[in-house]
Amino acid sequence: MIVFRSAAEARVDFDRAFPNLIGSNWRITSPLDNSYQCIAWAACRRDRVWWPWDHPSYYWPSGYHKFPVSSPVPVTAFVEVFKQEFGYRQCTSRDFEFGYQKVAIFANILGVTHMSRQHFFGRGWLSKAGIMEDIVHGELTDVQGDISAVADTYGEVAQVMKRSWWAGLIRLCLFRALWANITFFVYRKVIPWDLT
Amino acid sequence: MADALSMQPWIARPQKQFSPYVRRPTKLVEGAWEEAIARRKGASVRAFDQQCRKVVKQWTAKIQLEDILVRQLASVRSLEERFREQADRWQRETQHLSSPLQRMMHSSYQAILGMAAEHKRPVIRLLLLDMQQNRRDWLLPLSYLTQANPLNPKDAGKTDKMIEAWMRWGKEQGILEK
Repeated sequence: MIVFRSAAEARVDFDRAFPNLIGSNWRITSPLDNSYQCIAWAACRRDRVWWPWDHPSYYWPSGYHKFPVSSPVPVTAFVEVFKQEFGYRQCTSRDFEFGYQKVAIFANILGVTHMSRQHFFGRGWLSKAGIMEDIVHGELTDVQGDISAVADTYGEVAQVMKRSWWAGLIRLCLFRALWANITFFVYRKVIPWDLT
Repeated sequence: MADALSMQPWIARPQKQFSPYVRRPTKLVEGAWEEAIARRKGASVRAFDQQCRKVVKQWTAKIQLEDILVRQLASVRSLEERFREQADRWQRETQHLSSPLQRMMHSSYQAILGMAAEHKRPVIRLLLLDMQQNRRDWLLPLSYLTQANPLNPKDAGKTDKMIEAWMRWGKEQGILEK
C-alpha cells in the first residue's frame, strides 16, 4: 500500500520518532509503503519484508540461519548475510570513503533494530523507517536512540560494513537505487504531492 | 317516601362513580386505587401489601434484565472500539520500527492479544477486516491465534499477496463475508 503523505504530515511522525532529526538536514525520498522495510532497503530491494525469523511472513535468503518467532536477532546474523550475499565486509569508520559503499546495523540490548545504507556518492545515509517513507539524513546519529529494550528507538550503531562500488554495481544495487530515484521523480511529477 | 327510598337506594346512598372521561391511574399508581377499593371493602391491608411487593419484584426483574441486555450490547460495541483504539495507537507508535520484535512488545499489541483470549473469533474477524481496510500488518497475530498458514512460501515477505491469502482464508472459514 502506497500513501502519498504531505511532508508536513510525515515530519510530525518523524520528529516524534527521531528527536535527533529535528533541526537537521533530511528529506523524504519515497512515499509511505508497507511492502518493504529498512533491511530490504539496505539490500537495495523494495518488494519484500526481510527478517531472519522462521515464519512465512518474512523473507530471508535461503541457506542462512532463521530464528524462532519472538526471539531477538543478533548482529552476526545480518553480518553473515550481508557479507556472503552482498559482498560487504566489516569496518570501523562511518565516514564516506571514495569507491566504497557502507551499511550500518543498529541494535539495542535485544538485538538488531534497523539498517541504514550510505548514499552511493556519500550524500548521507538512506533509511527506511518501518513502513514510513524513505529518508536521506546526514549522520547515523540522526536516527539513533536509547539502547534499552523498552524504548521504541533504534538503539545505537553496532556494526558498520563496506563494499566496493564494483561489488554494488555487479549486484545491481546501483541500478535498483537509480530505479527508485526515477520512480520518485515520476511520482512527484504526476501526483499532486506536497513535499515542501 | 321511605318505600320509595328502599326501592331506589341510589337516591339516598349514591355510589361514587368515576367519569369515563378521566384516565385511569397508571400501573404504578394503580395501587392507590386498589388500596382505596380494599379499604372500602374492609379487606386487610396485608393482602394489598403483598400484591404491591409482587408488582415491585416483577418491575425490578424487568429493569435488571434490560440492564443486562444493554450491558451486553455495550460490550460488543466496545470490543470493536477498543480494538480500533489499540490498533490506531499501535500503528502510530510503532510505524517507524522495522524490528517485528519491537512491534510485538508494544503494549497495544499485547492488549489486542489479551482481547483475543476472551473473544477469539471476533478479534480474528477484526484483525482480518483491519488488514483489508488499512493494510496493517496483523500476519503474526493471525497465524498465532488461528494456528493456520494460508501463505504460499514463494510469497514470503510480499505484504499484498500475504494479505490476499489471509482474506481468502477468512472467506473460506466463514469469518468474512464472501
